Amino acid sequence: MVILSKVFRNTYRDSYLLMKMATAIRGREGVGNAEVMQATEPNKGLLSGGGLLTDEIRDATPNDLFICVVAEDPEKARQAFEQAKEMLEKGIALPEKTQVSKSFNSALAMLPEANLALISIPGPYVKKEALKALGKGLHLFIFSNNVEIRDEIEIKEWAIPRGLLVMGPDCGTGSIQGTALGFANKVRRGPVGLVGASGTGLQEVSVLLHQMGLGISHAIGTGSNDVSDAVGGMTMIQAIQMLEADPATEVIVVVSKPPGAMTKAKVLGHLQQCRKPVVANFLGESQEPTRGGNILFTVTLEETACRAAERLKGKWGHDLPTDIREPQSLEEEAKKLQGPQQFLRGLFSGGTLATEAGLILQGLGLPLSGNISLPGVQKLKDIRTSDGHVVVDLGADEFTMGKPHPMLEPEMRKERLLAEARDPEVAVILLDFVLGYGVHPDPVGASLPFIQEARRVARQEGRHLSFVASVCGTDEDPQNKAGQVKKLQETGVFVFSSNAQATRAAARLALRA
Amino acid sequence: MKIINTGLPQFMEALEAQSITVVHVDWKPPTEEDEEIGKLLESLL
Repeated sequence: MVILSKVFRNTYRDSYLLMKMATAIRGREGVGNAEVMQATEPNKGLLSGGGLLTDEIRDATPNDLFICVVAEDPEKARQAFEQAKEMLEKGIALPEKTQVSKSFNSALAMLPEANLALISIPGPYVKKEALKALGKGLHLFIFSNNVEIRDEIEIKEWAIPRGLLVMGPDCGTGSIQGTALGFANKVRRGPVGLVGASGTGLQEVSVLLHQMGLGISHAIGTGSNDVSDAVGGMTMIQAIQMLEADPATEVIVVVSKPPGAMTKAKVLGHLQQCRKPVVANFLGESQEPTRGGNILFTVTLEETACRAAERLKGKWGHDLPTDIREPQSLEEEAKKLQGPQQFLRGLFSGGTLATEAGLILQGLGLPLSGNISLPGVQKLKDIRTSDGHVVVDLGADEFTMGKPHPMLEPEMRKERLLAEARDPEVAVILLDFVLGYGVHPDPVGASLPFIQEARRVARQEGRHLSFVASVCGTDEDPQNKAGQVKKLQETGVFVFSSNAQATRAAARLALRA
Repeated sequence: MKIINTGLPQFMEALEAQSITVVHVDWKPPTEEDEEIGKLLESLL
């Protein structure tokens, strides 16, 4: 193998472009590996782990960028390297009409009525930009992760007394006054206000409400660290108060990864003071739906949407469709599976959708392994190799270090899917497809080639492989949800209206109950 | 909503697709020189 690497001094490109470059180069014939990154310490660590750290890269700074290519022979390495350089020089062309500035201050001069700053720059630089924007009275949506907790606390302590909302850091999803922020769906406006430390949790509940003919006022993302005891739920509490005061919100829905104990007590205290009905889902913390005064606790995202709809008191739209394809055909599908095929493999791009699937499968008595944080889910010995019934969140950090998130690049699920197809004990693959703004323009179209390849792999070994999916989206999303569903169904994938329904159907196939 | 987007261009594109008024900041990390000038300015003000 030949290694070719170079540092480009004082060269910065955004992380998305760098990942696209690396993915394109890795796809070339004869290329074993490629990394294109800013020379930050974590990225250097990644290279060092792969034995690729050169002295030149070690001495580089975060303002520098490196390209590193590993190929079969010098000519393949050189050609791959040249392609990377070309992509680097071209960058991403912005549409002509886009208003672009070099700094926040000049951007504000161009748009003095700006009321929100969306920040997605490397974590160490976020505080400075955030405080600049807050100082000019803008609310914040911070997509960036790797922001120091003390920076997050400082930003929120500055913003909250001034009535400014800080969604994030590490906030992937939000919707304010019908505008989708980050990865978010186009959802009908309506009376349900959501707040959450859970991106696909907010997305799934929102799209289910939309499917029921209802709508949302806002979906306020808090960022993944907000509900830790260190940050104390500052944004979550602020958002609850905002929704309580908002005349357009009639029911408050909370969807959150389990908070720290002290934070949970504070959040519940604020929820109990709400006059409006509350539906709260802490993802795995409550195993039984229970009432706590005005608060109804739920277990699954589907249940969260249904209970929120019920609490609208007579403004119920219509029932959630039970499934998109005839349930009898599931029994026909089950007959195609052989005796040894007993396992379910859930390969998820949405973390909370993976957690919901895990909760449902555990409730059905399936012993589970995977990388989701639920009590009773075993860690896999090797995260990349499944054993038994498995649910993996392929968007988690351990899979996306230096690589695009599967919601941005569906191809990231290919390798794992093909590995599962080669396993003779696998009965059914469970998938989520997340639509909306900010994510891939055609998640299903991009995935079909390797779904079909997986079927071929199994067929060559004399096996049928079942596929079950849900599509988290609305008819107003840019990807044309009906078209996405149709493409899946035409390939023999069973598509359901919710992740919960898809999970239950997949379990039926695996258990043949 | 009127938004200033600092960082990844795809978020700016997603906002434009929703007909939201947005200005994109083509952000680059500050160089050591920028940092020193910044500190100097802060000490003067």
